[in-house]
Amino acid sequence: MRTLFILVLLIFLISYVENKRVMDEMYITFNRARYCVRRVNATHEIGCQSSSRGNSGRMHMIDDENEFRSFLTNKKTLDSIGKFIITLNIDLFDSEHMDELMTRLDTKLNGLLVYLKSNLTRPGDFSPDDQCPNHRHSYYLNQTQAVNWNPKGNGLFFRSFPFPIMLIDEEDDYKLLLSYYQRFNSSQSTSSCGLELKTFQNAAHTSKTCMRRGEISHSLIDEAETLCDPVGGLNIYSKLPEPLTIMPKQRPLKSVILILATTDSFQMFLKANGATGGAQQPATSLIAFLSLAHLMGQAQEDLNKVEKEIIFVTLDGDALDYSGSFRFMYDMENNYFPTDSKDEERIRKEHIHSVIEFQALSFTSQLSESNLYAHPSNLANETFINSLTNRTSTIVPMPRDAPLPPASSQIFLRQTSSSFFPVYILTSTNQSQLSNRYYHSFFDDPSTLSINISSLEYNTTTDFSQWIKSLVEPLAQTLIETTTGLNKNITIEQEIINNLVYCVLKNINCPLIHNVSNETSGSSFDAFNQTSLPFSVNTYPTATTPTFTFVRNTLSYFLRDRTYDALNLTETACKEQGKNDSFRLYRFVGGYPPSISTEEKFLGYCVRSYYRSAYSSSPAFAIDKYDLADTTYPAWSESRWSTISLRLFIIPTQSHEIITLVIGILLLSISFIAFFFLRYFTKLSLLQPSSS
Amino acid sequence: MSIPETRWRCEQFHQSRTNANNGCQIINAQIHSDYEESTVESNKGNMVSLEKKSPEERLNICRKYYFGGFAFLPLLWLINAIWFYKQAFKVEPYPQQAQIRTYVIRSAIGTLAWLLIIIIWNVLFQVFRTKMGPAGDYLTFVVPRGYY
Repeated sequence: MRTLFILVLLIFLISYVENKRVMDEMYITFNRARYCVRRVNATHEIGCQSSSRGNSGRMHMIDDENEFRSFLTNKKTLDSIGKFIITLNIDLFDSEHMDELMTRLDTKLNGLLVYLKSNLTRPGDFSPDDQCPNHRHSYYLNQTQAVNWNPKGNGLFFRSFPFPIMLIDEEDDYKLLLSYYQRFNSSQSTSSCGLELKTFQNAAHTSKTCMRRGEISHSLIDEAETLCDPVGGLNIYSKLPEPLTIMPKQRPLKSVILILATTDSFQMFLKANGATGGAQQPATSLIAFLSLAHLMGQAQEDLNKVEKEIIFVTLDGDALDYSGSFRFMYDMENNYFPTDSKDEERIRKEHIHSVIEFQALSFTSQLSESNLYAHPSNLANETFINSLTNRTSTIVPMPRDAPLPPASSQIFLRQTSSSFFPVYILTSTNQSQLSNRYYHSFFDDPSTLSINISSLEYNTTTDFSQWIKSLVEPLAQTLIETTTGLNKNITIEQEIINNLVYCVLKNINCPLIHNVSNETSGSSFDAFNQTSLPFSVNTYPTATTPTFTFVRNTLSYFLRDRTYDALNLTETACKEQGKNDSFRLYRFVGGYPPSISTEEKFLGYCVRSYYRSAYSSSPAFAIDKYDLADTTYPAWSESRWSTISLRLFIIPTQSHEIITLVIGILLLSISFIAFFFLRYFTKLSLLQPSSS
Repeated sequence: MSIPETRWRCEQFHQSRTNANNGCQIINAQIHSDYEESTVESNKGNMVSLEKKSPEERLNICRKYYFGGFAFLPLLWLINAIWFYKQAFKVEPYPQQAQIRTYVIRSAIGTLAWLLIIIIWNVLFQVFRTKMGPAGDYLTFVVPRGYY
């Protein structure tokens, strides 16, 4: 009876006890921190990493210039503490401050945590890119004086740090961090805050080393482990599907107009499933690009009559030394463009009439101008430029032979010695400076486009979407005029641009993408509900991004064969058509109403479109036996990593630590003594086998 | 469960006889070393005791170890040198001792030579691993992650 009572009491007690691990009580984890990773190219490594067990040290917060100065001159604090994790206001995160900090602290600097107090206090400009972006591989390689297109660029992205750097951009996280700091770091005598940053990276040294090491395996004992992946995704291209050029018909020379946009960007600080920025570069250009594609789709009847093709191309990987463009040009030179096309003649540089590129478009007000750069001047078509600029005041032509801003076309010119076709670059610059103050950083978000993201709905007409309309309509009209000779007043429905803006900048899981995709590909967007289209450094297919699926589906839908809208085909009939046509792609979708021209409404539509895609990783990774240490082509690769964590803990005072140690040693000695006593006074020996 | 039983039987065997018996030792040698520790007292030394071997047998074992070492097995030489050190230098002379001594000395020299080679290679490898380029990587067994 008594035993039962005790048992019940025990069960009663246990049910009231919470099971918490000591570790959970010791650490406060920040899950939403952004982190900096390691990337390597042919000659260098850039970025940051921690040791495999993480870097920790005493937290020291530096909020402004005064605190920075007093910290660096405070010899007493610097000497008394072994390792620091400096917590730095993002306003102070530039190369000057970093240099000072690194020289003064040297090995004592064990990590850096950058913080943004709130979205309202973001710096006026912040760009981790170089002042002259992509200067390592540009059209102007032999030029001595480079134009600083990005004068606010601090170049920190391209530096290598021997310690981890993380960033907290959520207001709650900052407040939590601050509250602990204020509670524990009030004086030297009390316990203080410590931080642990864990961002271990697998890659090191150069792409060559890293790729080689990834291939080494001691068979049977361990398998080869990939340490890094080549940077690159997909170069996607689409055009009107009417087969004017189908074999054996030959493509006339100078008959292909390429329209370019990019699908990637980079940020120094990544966050899993977090916003990547890229609203001005490249989202704005991409929206304009897709809108233009829609306009061309609308005018397909006229365009199909002439022996000219307008091919829409998105390039991926251009943020890092134009890898995507290099690959595109390499594919063209080697007769791989368009890819897997046995039905049409391959396109060579002689076939190209001109290149039109949307690059780094920025919007500040309705009066924002975009600049039209044309190069080389002896090939540029003056009639095209005049016709375009006469139609609108938003597009301003730049003087002849003005230096080109960072753009993919630079590589198109460079690889063809700028003697085959002219390029036209539409970009937003301000006296030889990019208008984007947050070029290639996560601050480059919709707020920089005067868009209130929280109130943005699927069909909200914003100043921005109207501006896009005012930009692409004249361009489309001019393009049609140049190619067909017809003067058509073609317009695009505002709703389509509004929808695109919403999908790209706020929520890619939007009705538009579901309307233009078949069921399986549409459902892949459910996982990305309420996230903007990610623009980052891609390592496809290791890491998949919805960006390519989005671009592929919308672009090929906008350029579909519109005669099929009225056919009312069933899904099976649509599939049947696809089987007999290797040139075009057929898919059965719900249909995107603002784009459908017929009055009749059907349950589903068979979409006939032309779509191709090719890997966009640099030719360095495509050429057999290419030496990755060679700098002919960019050879960027991104490290793999497994754990990212940021944790706060409390460092007790020294006396506290000594007391804990002494108590521990005492306890150990007492238990030994007790054991010896027990052994001495009892006859029982555990080491002897019992005789029973 | 069979091993403890063996040991236990063996121990009883020991208790009954004061002098160690060969038959028991053979059983003992097969037993895992964990179980040997409790029988240390009766065994005097945890390796097969050379005193109990005949001089011919000793020489035979020593020769096998010595020649075995030439198959790039320096550890055999090391063991030989240590194990037979007493037999070679410390015990009262017997006819086979001279030969054993030669083997022991040569084994010791071989061990030292190997030690030297290994140390030099280790230093060279550590210093020149990154400078060797691809060769350095292919010679590395545990590929360093995150560091050059």
